[in-house]
Amino acid sequence: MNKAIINPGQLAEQEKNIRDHLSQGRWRKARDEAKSVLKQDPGRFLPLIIEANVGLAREMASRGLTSEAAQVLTYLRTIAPPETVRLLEVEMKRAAPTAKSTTAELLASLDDPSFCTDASWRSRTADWIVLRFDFAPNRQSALPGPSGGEVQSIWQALHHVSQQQWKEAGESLRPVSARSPFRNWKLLIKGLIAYYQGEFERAGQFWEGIEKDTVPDQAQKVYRLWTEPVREAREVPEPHLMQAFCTLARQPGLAPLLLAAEKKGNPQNPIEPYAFLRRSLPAFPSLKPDWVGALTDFCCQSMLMASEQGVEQTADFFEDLEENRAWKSDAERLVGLRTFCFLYTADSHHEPWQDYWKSYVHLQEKFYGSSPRLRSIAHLAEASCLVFAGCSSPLPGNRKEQAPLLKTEHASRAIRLLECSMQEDPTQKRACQLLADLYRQLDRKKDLGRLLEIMARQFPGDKDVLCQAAGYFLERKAVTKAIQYVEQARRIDRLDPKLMDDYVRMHFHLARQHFEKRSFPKGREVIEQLLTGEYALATKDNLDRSRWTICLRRGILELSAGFAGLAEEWLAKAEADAPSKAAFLLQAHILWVVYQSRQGYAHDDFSKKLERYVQSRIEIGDILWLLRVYRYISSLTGLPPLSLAENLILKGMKKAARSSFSRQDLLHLLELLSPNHRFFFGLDPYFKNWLKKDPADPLIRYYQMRSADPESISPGKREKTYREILKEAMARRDETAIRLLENELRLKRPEEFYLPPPDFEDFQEELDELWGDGAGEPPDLDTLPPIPLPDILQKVLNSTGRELICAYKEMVSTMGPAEKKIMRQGLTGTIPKADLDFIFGRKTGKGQGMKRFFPPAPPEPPQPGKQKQARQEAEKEKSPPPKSFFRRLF
Amino acid sequence: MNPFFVLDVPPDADDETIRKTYLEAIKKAPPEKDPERFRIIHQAYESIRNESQRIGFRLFPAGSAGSSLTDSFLRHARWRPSMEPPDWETLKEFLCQCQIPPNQK
Repeated sequence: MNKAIINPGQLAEQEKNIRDHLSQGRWRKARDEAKSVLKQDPGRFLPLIIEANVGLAREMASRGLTSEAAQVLTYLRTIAPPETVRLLEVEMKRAAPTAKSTTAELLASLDDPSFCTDASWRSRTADWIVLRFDFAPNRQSALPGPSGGEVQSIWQALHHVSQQQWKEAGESLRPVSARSPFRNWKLLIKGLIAYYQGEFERAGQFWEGIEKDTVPDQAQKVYRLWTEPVREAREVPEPHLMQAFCTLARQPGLAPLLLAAEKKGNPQNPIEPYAFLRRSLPAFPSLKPDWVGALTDFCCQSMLMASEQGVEQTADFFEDLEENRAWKSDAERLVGLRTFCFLYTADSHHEPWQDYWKSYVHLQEKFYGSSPRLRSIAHLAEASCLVFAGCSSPLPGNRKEQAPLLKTEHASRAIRLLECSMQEDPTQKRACQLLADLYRQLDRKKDLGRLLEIMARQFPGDKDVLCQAAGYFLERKAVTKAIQYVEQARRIDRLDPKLMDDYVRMHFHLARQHFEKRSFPKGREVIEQLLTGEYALATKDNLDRSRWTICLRRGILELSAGFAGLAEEWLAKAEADAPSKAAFLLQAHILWVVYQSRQGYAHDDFSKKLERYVQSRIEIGDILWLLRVYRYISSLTGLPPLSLAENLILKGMKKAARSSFSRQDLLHLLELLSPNHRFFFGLDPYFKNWLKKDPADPLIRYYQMRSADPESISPGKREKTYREILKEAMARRDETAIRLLENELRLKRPEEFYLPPPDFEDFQEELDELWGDGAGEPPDLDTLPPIPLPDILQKVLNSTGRELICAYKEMVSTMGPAEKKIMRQGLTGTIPKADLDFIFGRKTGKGQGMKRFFPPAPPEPPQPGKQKQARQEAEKEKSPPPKSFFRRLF
Repeated sequence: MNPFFVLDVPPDADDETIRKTYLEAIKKAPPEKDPERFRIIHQAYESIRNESQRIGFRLFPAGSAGSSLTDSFLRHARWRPSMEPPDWETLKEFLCQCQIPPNQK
């Protein structure tokens, strides 16, 4: 069949393709395509065919396919220029040479300036000759020509380097000229001489001149791994350079092992690299600070940071070793036990965990000697595990946020362990603190007091401990002792304003005690000390230390237990100095109620006066002060009911809303009353009044929405309104309103999410009932009432994390096989496989399976009002970072 | 990296020895000259400065062990460069390994 004539456009396209193949090293493809169009334009395509064949011959030669390469060379002799053929012949000899004559031929080709002028070719040939290392010390050169002398010099210099003969090495390089094909070697060796003499910068300067992709260039790259500054994240070098690096680091053969181990590792299977290195390296694992120890540390860290499945595999691997007593060494057993302690301490249901701790401590002491501190930590870890059993988070650091949930038998055991911990190491503050928390939880006040005194003696420089002790003794009415502790704490930090407030507050208690014991001079002296010392403040807003509040307290003390005449004097001083008459009256009323509470509640003039004031002339400024006083009082503990005061404040708020106020006043009120505050609804008249002036004010509209009854507005309508307000806020560039509204809109969605019941037909029926017979528009989905869900599904929806898995398991237990299958299909991919196995009753491996992560006793479902909190806790619970657990122990 | 290796102290070194070595090490690598090295030395010191810290380190050897096994080895080896040249045979082997393999050319 005649080949079709190709038009010039197609030829150009063909040429482009061939050149692409050549640049990509696809020699056969380039050759075949060029052959097919050779007759169309021989002048254009013959050079391409030659290039493709040369490339092919080189590739074959480098792979050791010498006879195939020779065939290509024979073909090339018929089409290529003689110099190309000659060059290729030499290269092929270089590729698979054994005879000494090849070196001589190559040296001759380097010495012949007309042979090849390509610098890259000359450098590659020089590299090849050098790497033959046909060299013996003290033997005169037998290599021909100037290049022969140069290569001999390079070998000699390298030998001197290996012998640390720096001067001789430098001298040996003299015959190598700057234009020699061996100049890269000369630069490398000069750099090596500088490097081994500690001159890294100078070495780098020599190495900069080396031609890229030559052997000296690769060698300097390896050396630069040492000379460049240490960086956190650095690229791992190419495998051949890594191998060279390992050789230089006196660990030949390590690189392939590392690369092979790395290939085996992934987050689902972190134990494989460990197992591989364990088999391959006799010294692995090691606890020594050497390179084997570094690899061990890496493996351990990656095992503990792996996915849940990976962690389980790790545990199974070590459990196997423990069961079969197949530990490679004591060091490995220590690594294994450490892993067990780490994994199981957060799970008190895994029984052997205490044995692991004991064995770990025993072995650790064998390695590093007896350590009471370690034993103390082990006891603390065990106790922490018991104390926090059943908590959503076992981390001791979370105890402030949530009280530990304890069972009595656990508590007594935990106490014993903590006492042991303290006995082993009296400076173990965490054990003391945990024990104090425990005593508080169990309401063992005497024990707590004794412990706090011990702690105050043991940690005299710890402000927190001293404050705890002070708080305890204040609660026990041992005011003098409490003051001593606060004074001690103040000596540690004199600038802490809270300590100063506490100090003053405790002196009020002391003065009150003196007054109640009718030791009036002592009581008065205490108050006067406060007024004359550095404690009293001229500013009005510190309700502990402002002068007017100190005077007021003195006045009320005189009124309730002292002399009425003196009381009037002090009350007059306080009133004159008070920022607002309403604030003065409110605080006087509350103090009166507090100081009279022992004698029984008595009506007072202050509340009557405040009521009259509220009805007659209260203003927004007074309201601000009333709220400040109330907020301060609410922060104190042990107060009698303050319903009268609260009513008066609410009345005052209502009344003051009718008077004029600025936006700034309203913002001050909002600072004092968060949307969750019980008085927040009292701001509604303020919002209405302000919105009469500026109906579109986004911030005030937002707060008005927040104050509205949640039942009165559907979620959909609420969201729509928020979006409208957000638009206005953006137009006004009201950043505060934008931030609040964006948060609100982001938070809304999960709360409004609910699932249809599992039976879709029932759901459809319910929808039909709501929509009638299909006539007219369907109603707004937001107005649909929540559909009652079956109890068990409701339980699933209300539960989270661990509870969710348990609830799923309960639900599945009621299903038939077909339903189970559908359920399993639905859950596959959404939750981990191990959880699936737990839900559907399949055993997981030989370890403890999900028992390790999901203790058998399901916790109580969260109370309805605390669902959001429970959800947040469950979020934390999903992946408790065990690492921090240990970090917090120290 | 292992702090005992970073500071070049034996695993049973006491507080005094560790502190002394630390001070010498930061003299050689002050923060203004080599901040990264200084940071690593300081971090190492902080993790083993007293017995409690040392127990903590042994219980959980925290710290950056590297992003991979290779990186871990590299970090370890690079921390103290070998200042003694390899013998003649090792040097030859090293240079031969520096050839770019045909598949990477």
